[in-house]
Amino acid sequence: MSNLTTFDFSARAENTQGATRRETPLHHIIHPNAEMAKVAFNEVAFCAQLTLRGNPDNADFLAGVEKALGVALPLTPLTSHASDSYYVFWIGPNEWLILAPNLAPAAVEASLRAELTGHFAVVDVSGGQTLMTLSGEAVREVLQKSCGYDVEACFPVGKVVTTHFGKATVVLHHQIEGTYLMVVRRSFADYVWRWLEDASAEFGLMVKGA
Amino acid sequence: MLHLFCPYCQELREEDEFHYRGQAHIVRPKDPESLSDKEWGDYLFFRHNPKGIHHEMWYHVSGCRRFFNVTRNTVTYDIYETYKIGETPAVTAKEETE
Amino acid sequence: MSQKNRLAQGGRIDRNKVLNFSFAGQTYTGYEGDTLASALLANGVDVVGRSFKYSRARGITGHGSEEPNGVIQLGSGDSTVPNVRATQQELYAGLVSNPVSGWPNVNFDLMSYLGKAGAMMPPGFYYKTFMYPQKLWMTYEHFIRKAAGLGKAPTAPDPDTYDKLNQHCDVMVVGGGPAGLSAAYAAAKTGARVIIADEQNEMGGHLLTFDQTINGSSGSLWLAEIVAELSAMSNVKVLCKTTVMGYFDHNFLVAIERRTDHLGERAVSGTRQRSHRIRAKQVILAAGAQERPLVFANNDVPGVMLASSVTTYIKRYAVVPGHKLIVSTANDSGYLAAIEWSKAGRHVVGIADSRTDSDGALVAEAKALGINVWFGHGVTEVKGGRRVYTASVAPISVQGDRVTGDIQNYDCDTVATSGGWSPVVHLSCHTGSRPVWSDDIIGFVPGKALQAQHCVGSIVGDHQLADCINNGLETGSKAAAQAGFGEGELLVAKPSVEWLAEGKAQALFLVPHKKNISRAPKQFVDLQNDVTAAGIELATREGFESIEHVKRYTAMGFGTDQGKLGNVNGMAIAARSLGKSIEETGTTIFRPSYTPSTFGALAGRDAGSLFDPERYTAMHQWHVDNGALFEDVGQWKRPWYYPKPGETMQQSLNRECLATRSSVGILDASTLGKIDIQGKDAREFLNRVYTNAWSKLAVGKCRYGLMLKEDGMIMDDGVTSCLADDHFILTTTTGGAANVLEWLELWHQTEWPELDVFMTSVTDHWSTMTISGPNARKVLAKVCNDIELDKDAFKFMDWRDGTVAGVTARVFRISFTGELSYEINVPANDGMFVWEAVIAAGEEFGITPYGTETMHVLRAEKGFIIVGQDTDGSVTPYDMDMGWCVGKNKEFSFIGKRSFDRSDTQKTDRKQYVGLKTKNSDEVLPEGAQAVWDPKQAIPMTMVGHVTSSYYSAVVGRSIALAVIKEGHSHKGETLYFPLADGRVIEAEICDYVFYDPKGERQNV
Repeated sequence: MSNLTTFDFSARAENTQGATRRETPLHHIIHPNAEMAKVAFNEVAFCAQLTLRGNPDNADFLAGVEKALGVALPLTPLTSHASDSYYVFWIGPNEWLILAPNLAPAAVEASLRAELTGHFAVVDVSGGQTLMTLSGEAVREVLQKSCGYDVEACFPVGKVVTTHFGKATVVLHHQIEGTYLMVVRRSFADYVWRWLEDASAEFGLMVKGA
Repeated sequence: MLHLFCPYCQELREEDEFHYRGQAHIVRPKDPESLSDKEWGDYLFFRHNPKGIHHEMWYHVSGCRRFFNVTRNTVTYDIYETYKIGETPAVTAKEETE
Repeated sequence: MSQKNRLAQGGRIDRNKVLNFSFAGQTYTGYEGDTLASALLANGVDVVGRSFKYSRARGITGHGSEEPNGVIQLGSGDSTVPNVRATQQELYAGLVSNPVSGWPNVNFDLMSYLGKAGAMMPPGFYYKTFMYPQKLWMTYEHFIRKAAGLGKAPTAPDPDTYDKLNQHCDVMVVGGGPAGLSAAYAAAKTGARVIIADEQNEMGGHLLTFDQTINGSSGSLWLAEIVAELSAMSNVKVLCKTTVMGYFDHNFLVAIERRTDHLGERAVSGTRQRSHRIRAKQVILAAGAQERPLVFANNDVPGVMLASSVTTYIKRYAVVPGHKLIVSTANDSGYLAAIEWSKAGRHVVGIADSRTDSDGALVAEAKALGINVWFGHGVTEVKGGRRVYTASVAPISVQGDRVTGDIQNYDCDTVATSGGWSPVVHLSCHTGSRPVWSDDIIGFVPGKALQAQHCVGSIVGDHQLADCINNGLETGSKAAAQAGFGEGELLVAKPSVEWLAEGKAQALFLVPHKKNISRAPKQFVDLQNDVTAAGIELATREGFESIEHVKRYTAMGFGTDQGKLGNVNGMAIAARSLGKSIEETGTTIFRPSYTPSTFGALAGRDAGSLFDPERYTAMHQWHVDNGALFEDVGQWKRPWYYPKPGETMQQSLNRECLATRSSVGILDASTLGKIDIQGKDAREFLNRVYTNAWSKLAVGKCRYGLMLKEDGMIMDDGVTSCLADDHFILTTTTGGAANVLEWLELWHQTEWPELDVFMTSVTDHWSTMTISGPNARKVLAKVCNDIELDKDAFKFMDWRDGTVAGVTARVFRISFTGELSYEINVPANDGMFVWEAVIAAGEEFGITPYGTETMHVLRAEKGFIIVGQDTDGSVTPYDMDMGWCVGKNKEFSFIGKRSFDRSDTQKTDRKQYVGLKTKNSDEVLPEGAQAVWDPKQAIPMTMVGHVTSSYYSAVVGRSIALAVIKEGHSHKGETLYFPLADGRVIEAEICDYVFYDPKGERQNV
């Protein structure tokens, strides 16, 4: 099991070394934290995210990925693997999502390209989606309000599903017991946030770092 | 709302995760230019509309993004099987010979 | 005012909690635990509404969702709800209610005088009377609606919130009576996930009103224990006040929980109602049965009630709704009303039992209490206006079809009737299963199960408590086993339950009158829609033989109660009139919703700004801050235009357009779809899905492409760039992005899996800003020092990697305006920073942000098409004069190519893409306007095409339009006419579709 069990809060907007500034999709949110909040929300800022495509029947491809990342690709549908530096989610039979909280996307891409030959694709999607974690004692009810997926009985720790959250498509991962990681397309982030704020209101919502 | 078993995700999912893509097993002619207008028109426009067993294609758009086939009864909405593209259905209607 | 009908003791109400409420402007008091109906009855309120057609006074008849008369407008203001059943509405402090029917008011009613004056309103009355002359229908309808009074919808937005909860379970139990509770209990004991829902405020069903001994003590004790145990189990959800309103495909059910409607007009916190969307492996229907009234003359007068409702009001609410009772029944269960009435200390005049005899336990008990029992009799008629005052009791034949002797009139104020029990087959019918008539139980029972469904309890005609409990336990255990829990063996002991001896019931629906049906006083079948036995008979005489036609002709079974009370009687009367059996006549089809549902509960959280996702770009806040108005493009919010204070839309557009043409403008183009394609066969794949050739596009180059459907019609367009020999990035229209990706995956996955390509959406990853205009290069040069920008080094239709404002960027030199343009792409997290940097750099050139409207004008000046605006799925590249974009010599027969040779695409009179100049240069044609050659021709005119785009162009100095016109390419210079709906006819000349810089020099500078 990985040390990467949780994503800590980090600033959602930051000035980088070259005097530029980058912003997460939800860098602007302001939320008065409820006392006794039963739902906790965190936007994980600036995590490297890459889509990897390849043939799972190609042993060279599998070996190359494992060599590059130090973790084997999950081949069983809806499962995930994790190492000290990476989460790897099964997305489809020839598609995986790689998350690397502490690495630059270009570095991850370079290390994969260095090891892979033949037919594969690596695409940096870090700017196109954001990560949110949800936890708290009422988190499951909030998910039940939002997702048609059976989060009660079919969603053990480690499982990852692509499904609907409200009317947005998200990737949902049960990270550790009671903590869920959600991958949301950037342009849908505000919608998902406003939905969450509304759906959590009756339980009390707190935003980490806000 | 239908409950569809995605043969790639290997579990049942709610209908709203899928797009319906119409009749399955329509193969694009290898050499379209050699077809008569009637043959090309049949390929383009004519579809089965059976009462009973129907093979149809679905797309798991809010899921694994794979196309797959479903054998469904258009009267009862019973789903007999779902199978991957390229596979043949196990359940077929008797009169389905062509 | 005192609650004159309230008993001093008993009932499941709390006399310490007095609640004030109002009905029709009068204030009353009731107790916690009351329904609005029980509280009204306690206060002696007889009239609660006026009937739909005849405007007769009506009172409370039932005690649940079947209630046809006690339908009220609940609450006030924005949170008001129309058509609430008073029998289902729990009382709360300060409840405000009003009748929905009765105009001008319930107690004084103009319409009833019309009725008394002899206005005949037979079935089909509206069809026959009000259809002609047709133009008066609106007048008639207004009057009819006002008179009928169907409740009022609030005019302001609902201030409460509603939501949805997705549920999954192994066993779903509908109905919380003894059978349902037993089923849930047995299933839960196996470890299965169980949900049990009941529409009442507490579980128990029939046990709440009729106590029988279970395991040697009171049934209410057994009830309390089983409910407590179920509630404590973590694998069980017990949902009271929850109506399962629909049963859909693959065991999907929707149940609506009223969470705060019993507490007050507004939800103090949380959601007012919640719809549970339940996917169940197994479903157990234990919805019970509803008592059927007997039909007789004037059976709608207040004081005529269901026997079981009389019992319920006495036992559950400690309300005796009158003083002198007569019961008319065809079975044993009707006796219970008389027994409880008598035990409450009020007078029972007698029981008219249509049967010759019965040896049932309740009959014996009634006799032991000294109650008169008249076998072979029925109540044939009552008299009264606002309340019953006398009832006619007559001997009737064994077949129940005629009066056989002298009629006795008895003073009474209440008549309780029981014609038997109709199983609640509605949910089973929602699945498409037709109910089946059973002579044994004298009712329709659920037909063959079409899904993983079980039925238990009185829904299948089991009325014995022992049967309900034991069969419930077994069904629960069996359903759990079928869901994968347990072996089907019962894990709990069956209780011992007191057996109640029962006499055989008689099939009686209409009590005969001494006059025949058409001459007797009105015998109501459907109280809510004023459908009478005579009306049904007339409908059959007029040739309506199908029960579905009878329903629509008479309106039987419409309305809030959907015929729960009257349908079976109506079908039986129709059957007799047609000389058929009830089985042959059949039923109408029950559809969702079982009871009226609020829009709020169905909408849930998908309302207001959450109705549909609003998608934002990374620069959205800048647009907001700079005064942009927004346009919806798909789900995206795109800046439409940026008016300065005091500017009209046209002034704003003129300013934005001229600034771009003369200096530089900037557009947020992030919403364009972007698809990354990698793989050695990427070129071949592009060759197959686009009309043009991609084999020779070099790295560093871009090319415009047209995508067709297989029928040869334009589907999408965009620029594709070659990043590496096996790596391309393709752009799509904003609205087409998701469809195009699905389209490409479709062809790859199902037709050409042998091609090595992978497609990934990168639409959201890149923020895209387009700087356009003669000064675009100067602006870019200020923020980009690592790309050689010279016109010969970085040519039109090239792209380059580099940095912009210090951020890694990809810059494309492509143009949708016809000006010198650069599309700057940066990772979206950096989008706002780079946008602001470019704006700052452009300040000295007066850089002007422009929105989608200016973008449309600028491209129209150049004649560039917008797919979906100038095309509509029925035009080919040739129609659009874009044959230059079709690679006729490509080896592979690309998608759509073969269709160019179809006779339809070859025909000579196809609509073709042209420009239009109005004769009056200031007049802007409406988009969609239809073109004719001769405006003086007779209507309908021959239309030859339509306007697809139309604007005022500031740079051209006149209005310009694009259109598709039959054979337009060969009619340039000719005049067309556009007759408009307002009577104007606009004259325009067909011209070339390029209005500005026809040689295309400006983009190459």
